[in-house]
Amino acid sequence: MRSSSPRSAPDELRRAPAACGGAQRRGEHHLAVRVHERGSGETRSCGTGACAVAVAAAVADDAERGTAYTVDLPGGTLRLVWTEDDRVLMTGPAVLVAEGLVDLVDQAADTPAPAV
Amino acid sequence: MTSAPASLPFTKGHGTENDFVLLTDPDGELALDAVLAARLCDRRAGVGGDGVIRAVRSDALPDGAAALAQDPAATWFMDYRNADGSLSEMCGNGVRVLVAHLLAEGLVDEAALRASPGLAVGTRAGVRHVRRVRGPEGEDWLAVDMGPWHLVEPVRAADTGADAEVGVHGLDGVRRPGLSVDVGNPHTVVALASAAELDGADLTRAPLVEPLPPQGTNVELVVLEDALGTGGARGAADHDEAPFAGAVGVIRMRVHERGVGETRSCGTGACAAALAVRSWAGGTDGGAPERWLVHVPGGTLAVRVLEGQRVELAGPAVLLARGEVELAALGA
Repeated sequence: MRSSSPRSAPDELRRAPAACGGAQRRGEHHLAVRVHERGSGETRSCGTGACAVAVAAAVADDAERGTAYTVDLPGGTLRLVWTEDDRVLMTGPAVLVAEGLVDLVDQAADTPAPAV
Repeated sequence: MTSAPASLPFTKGHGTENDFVLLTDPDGELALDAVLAARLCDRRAGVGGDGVIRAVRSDALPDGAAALAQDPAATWFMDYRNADGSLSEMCGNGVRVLVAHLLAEGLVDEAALRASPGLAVGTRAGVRHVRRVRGPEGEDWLAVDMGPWHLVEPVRAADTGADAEVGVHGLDGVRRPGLSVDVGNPHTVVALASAAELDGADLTRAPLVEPLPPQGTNVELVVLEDALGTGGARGAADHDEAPFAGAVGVIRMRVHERGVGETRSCGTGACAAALAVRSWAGGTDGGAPERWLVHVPGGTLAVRVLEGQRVELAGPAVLLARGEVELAALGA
């Protein structure tokens, strides 16, 4: 498990996205990323992180605006486009796994955990 | 795929935050394999849990036949899988939550919990009996006879109180004595000096146990709050219908589970911790309490030493949600 924050400086990220700690080239306009979220640690996916990686890669590639980047994250794949008008479009799956009802009474009645 | 259901009803429950996805499958029609179990337990892409428990009639699956041979009253069987999908024999927190689920579904009768020896439930480790008891604050708890236990090195336990050395990350680097207790699975119990030490231990990394048993070991770090049971009599986790009489020891515990890491609770670990501390406190001959309250990060459990070298675990069983999971979304 990685529990310490990556040491890559933002400047390094901008200059060489393929070489920074969290991103790896998989092909043309295709990267694999692991992300360390501020205050959270490693997560399975991070939309803004994927946007940042795609933009950084586009800068490094000198890619035309509107070029679609594919970013593989541990939790799945996102598609990103840095548009002419300086916006980033993200496309990806949204899955509803289950639906149900939570019992508020039993939750509240549960003995609070002692501080250990 | 034509006859497969699109969704699967489930209940989510926990015992001292050891949490489970519960499925009801009386006739054993559901193909609960390792892949489906792991996907249900996935905390990001599934429902999330430490394991899946399928309630199935003992006569509906081969493993249940052995349970029925042992006790014809063991109508229901606990088909338990760990979060990684592997089969497990028994889980002390899980069997209590299963019984709470069977009650909620109207599949067993509360009266069976209040009659001796309790409700018989089949498991891969044999039949377990579950009884209704009161917790220290008068809560409705469930108690399960966890079966036989023994100190792995009883002579050394009596002589020095230890048979292993354990290095715990995050402390002062000094290795501490550990005592090996078998509760159907291996445990090594280490006493720490203070609650501050317990808080300071880094269990993101496995403690180093020497000698390490061939199959590895679970490690419990414990701090004594009341080894003699002089102050713990309030409420006192009355396991019997009879009014409580006797001392209750109190300990605080964190656990590192073999192959898993730190967990919020561990039923066999709580038993092992109480049994080790009881041994250090002089055992039966030394007048140590037979009943213990064990505070774990996920709540409080009670452990009672039974006649015939057996041990009983009691604690809460909470059902918190029910719903339907989309099998297609799980990729199942």
